[in-house]
Amino acid sequence: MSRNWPARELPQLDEFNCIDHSDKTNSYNCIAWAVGDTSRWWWPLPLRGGGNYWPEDTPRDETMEAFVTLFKNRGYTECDDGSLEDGNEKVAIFAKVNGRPVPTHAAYQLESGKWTSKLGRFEDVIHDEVTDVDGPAYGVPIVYLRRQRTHHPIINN
Amino acid sequence: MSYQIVEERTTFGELASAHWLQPDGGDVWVASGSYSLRATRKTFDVIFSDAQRFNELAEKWQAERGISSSSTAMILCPSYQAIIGMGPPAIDLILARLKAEGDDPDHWFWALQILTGINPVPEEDEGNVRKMADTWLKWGEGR
Repeated sequence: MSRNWPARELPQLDEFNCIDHSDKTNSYNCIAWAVGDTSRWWWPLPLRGGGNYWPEDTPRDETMEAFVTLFKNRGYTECDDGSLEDGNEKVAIFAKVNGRPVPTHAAYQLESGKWTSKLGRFEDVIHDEVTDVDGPAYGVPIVYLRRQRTHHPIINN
Repeated sequence: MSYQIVEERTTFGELASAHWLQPDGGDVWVASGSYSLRATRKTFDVIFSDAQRFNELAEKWQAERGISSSSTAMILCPSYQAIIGMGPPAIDLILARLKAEGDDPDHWFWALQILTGINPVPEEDEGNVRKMADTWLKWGEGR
């Protein structure tokens, strides 16, 4: 597998803390990946259509509140941090911190304690720390949520 | 991006038909018939100019959107907006590109929806890029 994403946008991600898990694809994004769907691109554009899926149970708002609701509707509750907890799985929602935080990315915690991220239209990867994908593109993790571990439907934990 | 223009002429030297090939061989634009040399050239210049501009903007869009997962960020890229700003001539260019992208179609759906004023994609296929691409290509063939 080759790495196609622009390295300048993920300055902390390197061959020592990250392994590729898929080829690049436009089929799904980080939100879809975090909820375990590799068939659709999830994003809350305000109008229906336009190439995006967003579930009916969640407001079509590009806000942290809406993204938190998305995961709460899937059994998650907010928690303090991304530490590994026995029996739980976590997601982290990222945003840039200048001004009102607008969601940019979500990462999912594997049973090993490592994290997995789908990098936009590029590959999905497994990285050691949730903060390995901090940077100008995604900002930093703003909200963590957890639920009882159900196992990611696609990736081998 | 450079193009190879191939011209065919009548025995009287008039331009009978012409087409151009993209470097990747993927798209072939053809015009033929009883055009005068000047009229054909003018038509070609317009189409060629649109195709060239579209391809340049499409490449620029790849760089501008980076690793963003946000569809909002993707469609607000200046180059994507400029493609929408090309108006109706962009529709066939987008459809040709969508076809050339094959199994991994890109996110041209918002632009198509804005440019055409319709959304032929069934609600259950929303977000599935392959199914959406198939629907739009079928729509294009049926126009």
